[in-house]
Amino acid sequence: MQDIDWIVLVATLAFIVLYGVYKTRGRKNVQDYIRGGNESKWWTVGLSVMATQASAITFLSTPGQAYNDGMGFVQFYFGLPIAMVIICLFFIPIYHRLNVYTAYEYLENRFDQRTRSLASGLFLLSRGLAAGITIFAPSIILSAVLGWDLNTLNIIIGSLVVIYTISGGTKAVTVTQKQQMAVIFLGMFVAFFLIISYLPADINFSNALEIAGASNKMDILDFSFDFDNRYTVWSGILGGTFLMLSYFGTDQSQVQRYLSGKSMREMQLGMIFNGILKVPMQFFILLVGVMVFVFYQFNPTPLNFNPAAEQAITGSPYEKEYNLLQNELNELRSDKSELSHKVVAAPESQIMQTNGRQVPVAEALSQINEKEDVIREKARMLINQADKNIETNDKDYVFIHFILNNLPRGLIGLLLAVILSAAMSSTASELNALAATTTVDFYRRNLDEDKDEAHFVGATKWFTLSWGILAILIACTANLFDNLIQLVNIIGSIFYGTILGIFMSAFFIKTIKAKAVFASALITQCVVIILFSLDYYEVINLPYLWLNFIGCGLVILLGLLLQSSMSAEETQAIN
Amino acid sequence: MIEPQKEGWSNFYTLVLVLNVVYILVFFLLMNFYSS
Repeated sequence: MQDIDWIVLVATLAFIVLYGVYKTRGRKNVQDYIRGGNESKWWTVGLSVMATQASAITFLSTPGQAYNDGMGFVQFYFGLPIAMVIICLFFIPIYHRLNVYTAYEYLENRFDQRTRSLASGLFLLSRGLAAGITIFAPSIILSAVLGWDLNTLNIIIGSLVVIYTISGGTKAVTVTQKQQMAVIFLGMFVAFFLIISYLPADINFSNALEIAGASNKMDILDFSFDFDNRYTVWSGILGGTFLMLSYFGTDQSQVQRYLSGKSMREMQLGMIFNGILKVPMQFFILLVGVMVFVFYQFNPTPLNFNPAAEQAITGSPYEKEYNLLQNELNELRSDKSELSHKVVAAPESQIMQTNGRQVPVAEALSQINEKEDVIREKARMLINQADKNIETNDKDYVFIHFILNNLPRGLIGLLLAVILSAAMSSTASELNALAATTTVDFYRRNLDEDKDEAHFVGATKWFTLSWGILAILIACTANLFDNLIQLVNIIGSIFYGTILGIFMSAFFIKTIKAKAVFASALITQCVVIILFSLDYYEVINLPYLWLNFIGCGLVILLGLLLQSSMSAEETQAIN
Repeated sequence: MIEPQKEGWSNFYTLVLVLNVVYILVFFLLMNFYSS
């Protein structure tokens, strides 16, 4: 990091925070503070929804995912546009008509207070933990590659977010997200064009795609029904639709974004904006990762992109063996570079292998990349032997390694601003939603005496601060728990289906009443936890995307069964 | 109790679905053109 990088980074982040505080200064009522005064235009709603979903991990992990596994991850988002249309048709009209502050208020109107408290409680539990991880996940990566102190980084990110989220509430979150998305798009486009310019002079963009294709990185779509493949067209469309419906339709951190829209039309157009741009945006981020892969076909790479892994090996009994593997990898590089040029210049040509077999040049390149994967796997095993606590899965470190070692001065600062902006935009939405839900669904709902607007604005501010402190504390202690990130993912995926099932029953199954839905939600939650445990301990094979579908379906099915048996009992009692 | 009411189909919804089908078609063509 040069001085110019620090200036770009600090100036960008300081501008965003100060702009957020300045634009939203002044006294506010609850509507201003929780729904941003309902002033947002559709593009603001759309950008805010996108900024909330795109966390720092999106920009650190997704290119690394493409580097390792190719473009297939884009299928994960195929259900999103369908979910957007369903939300526009059914969810937004009712939230708008009921004039709610949180999604869960509707559940009391439709069922009872118990169901509202159950859904909002599940949200607070999963989102409260996730807010800490949204801060922790980029901090651990940035601290590893930059040598910064992990806890200081957690406190800086968390405090910056808390300052403007307390100061301006939802409006501050929304206005800063516009700036953050501008920084994110600018940074990613600059990075993309620079990577292309760093390729050898005779390799253009189309050639780069040919090289990526020969290395199986362009297998974008998978039409198989194989449960072993986490991302297929079908799991994306079916599982993805349910996941996105739960996330955008019932998760307050998203609902609050579109509830700030000026009118119902603006809210719906904001979601349509997201539905149109999300898939190309994810495709583009993955493409950046694939271009990084092509770049490294011509340039040296470390055996493992996590610097902590290399440090663990140095001085250990495995260092010599590790260096031999590094030499093997270096020897492959000249072959990779030569074959990549051949794939472009003469894709139909064949080459003679050492075993005397003639193979097409693309196949030879693919084989070399497979060899490289084997070498990297051996290196991972050595690292694991040297230090069991080191994360050997280095996909999160690929893009940041590329940024720090190849981008020019100033742009490193800009790309770090992209990552921190993304972390801040997601965290701000989460804290804002957690505070709103705590105030509206628990504090105001259960408060007997009448209080004025200023009291509830003050309470929301205090809850924002409290959730912010809790998120920072979770981020600072996350390192102590090996599986905390995994735990958060588990909590998210096992609760989303149940919450969506409650909402779907509320919206579409008029016959299901409060008692039946509450009981079916509790039973479903237990079943989903059991199913997840069976998958976790490898008794069954059930990718987590399907848990949303199963959870939602089971709540509705059990709700119908319980309701019909309850109705039959009531009829009997009357008779 | 307020029931959900469908607010009517909009051409924007058709646009978002059609565009995404187009994206998938483009991905399919890209995959077939560039995959080994």
